[in-house]
Amino acid sequence: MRQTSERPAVDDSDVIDRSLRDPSAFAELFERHVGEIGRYVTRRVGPGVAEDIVGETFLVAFRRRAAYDRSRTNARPWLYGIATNVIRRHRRDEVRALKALQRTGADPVLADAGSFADQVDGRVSASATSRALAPVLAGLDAGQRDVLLLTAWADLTLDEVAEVLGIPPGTARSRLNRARTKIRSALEKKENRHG
Amino acid sequence: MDELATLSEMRSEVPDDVRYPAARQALLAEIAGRPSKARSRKVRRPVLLSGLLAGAVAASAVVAATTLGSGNSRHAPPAASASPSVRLVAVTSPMTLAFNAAALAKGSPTPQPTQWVYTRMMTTTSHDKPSGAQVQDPGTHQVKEKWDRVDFLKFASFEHGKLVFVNGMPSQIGGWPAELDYKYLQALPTDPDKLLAAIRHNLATVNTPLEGDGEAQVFEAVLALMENYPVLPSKLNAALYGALARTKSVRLGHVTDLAGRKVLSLYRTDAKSGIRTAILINPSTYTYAGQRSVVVADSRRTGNDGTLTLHKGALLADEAILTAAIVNNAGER
Repeated sequence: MRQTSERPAVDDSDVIDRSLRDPSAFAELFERHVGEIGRYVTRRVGPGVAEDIVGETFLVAFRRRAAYDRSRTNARPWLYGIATNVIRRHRRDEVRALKALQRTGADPVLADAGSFADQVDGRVSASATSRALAPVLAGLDAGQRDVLLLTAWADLTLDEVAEVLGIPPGTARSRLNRARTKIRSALEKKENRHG
Repeated sequence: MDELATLSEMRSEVPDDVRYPAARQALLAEIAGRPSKARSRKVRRPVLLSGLLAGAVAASAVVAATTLGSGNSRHAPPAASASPSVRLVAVTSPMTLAFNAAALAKGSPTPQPTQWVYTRMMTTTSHDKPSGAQVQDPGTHQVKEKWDRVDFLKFASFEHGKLVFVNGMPSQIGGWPAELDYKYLQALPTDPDKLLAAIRHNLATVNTPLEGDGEAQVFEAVLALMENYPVLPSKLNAALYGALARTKSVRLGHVTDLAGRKVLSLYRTDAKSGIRTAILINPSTYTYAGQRSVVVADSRRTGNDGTLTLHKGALLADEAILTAAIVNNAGER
């Protein structure tokens, strides 16, 4: 789902640099990334709390902008890292929705989505695959879930994931492998049941 | 089977063009320097109701180093507290106070973001409703302890004997840039004239336009920094007194604080609000020792938060810092 937009003439580090002198310049960074960060947050916790989490993510980013490593031209991984920290405080909401999806076959994350009902055509019942994945995601420890979803949903590379989570790349790789194994075996079990 | 590709389809219906207007509003408000709602540092309001209404004092204040002894001399501090080469003068004015503070100041290490600021303080209590002026009840006192992580992302305190952590976030201190941290503080000028110019520049650009001569806002900004940054670099601390001494409206006082200690004070009476606010200072170490705010003339003011009637003699804040120190772990004293 990575957006393959061309590299803008003014990159994120320029925007952040400018915002140190003129704070209002930071609004540009919001406009650039809110759609993508918001989508990731919503997929994890649902639209109900997404607005708050997105808000806090950008507030934290704004306040920490002086510490941004300006050799990074794209602020996307940095923003995902901040969002991940904020999401952690909503772990219970996240797991509760996954368990409900497993139990009922309806995904609260999509059902709550009054705001994007048009796009989903009122379709709230999740696919059998989603339903099979839900208990695996709910059962992962938070560190594994972060690595897995930053890889699968945010399209970060393993090195980026390691960096934004502040863990060694080897740790990120082993977490991802363990999580993938669990996902694979759940999917295989489902195939066997239906095949 | 590529399980990651399968997983990436899950919830892929969620669109990527939602604009999150409330999040945008919150960011724009922050950029404009308005306080946000998360538990955070004490936010002083630009309006002079600052510190009076409950919202502004909800987060507890902090500050300064070392434990004060009692029975300190009223004027020049005891020779024992100064190294032999330091010459101190009798404290007879804000300037002489600032001179002694500068003479005693040494280089201070920069705390790490994950260290903690431990504060133990004595305050009065108030029975006022949180929505009104928080007039303090004279004669009352309580001792509070807390740990704030240096990066302000976590706070801790004891509840029923158990150390409880709360997540926080750094927020802007009135009159100072958003990227305020120890690194920034270490980089501020320690020459009082330059520091005063920097404070005025911050006030004029970051936040609120200066009102009149701007001295009320300079005083507020200095106090806000001291109460939020307990263990200030000592050279900066001295320069802040020097900057205040260079304003026309700041006076020197000798008072007994809530904990019964004799302390120095730099105070300012605001003619508009009828409030006298004092920064209390340890007469031996010249570190911030607390604050006191008293109504000296009846007033009635209308601000963003409503109308506030204040009666002469009302106590608005009385805080004595008993201990403030950088520690490695929450719960450490």
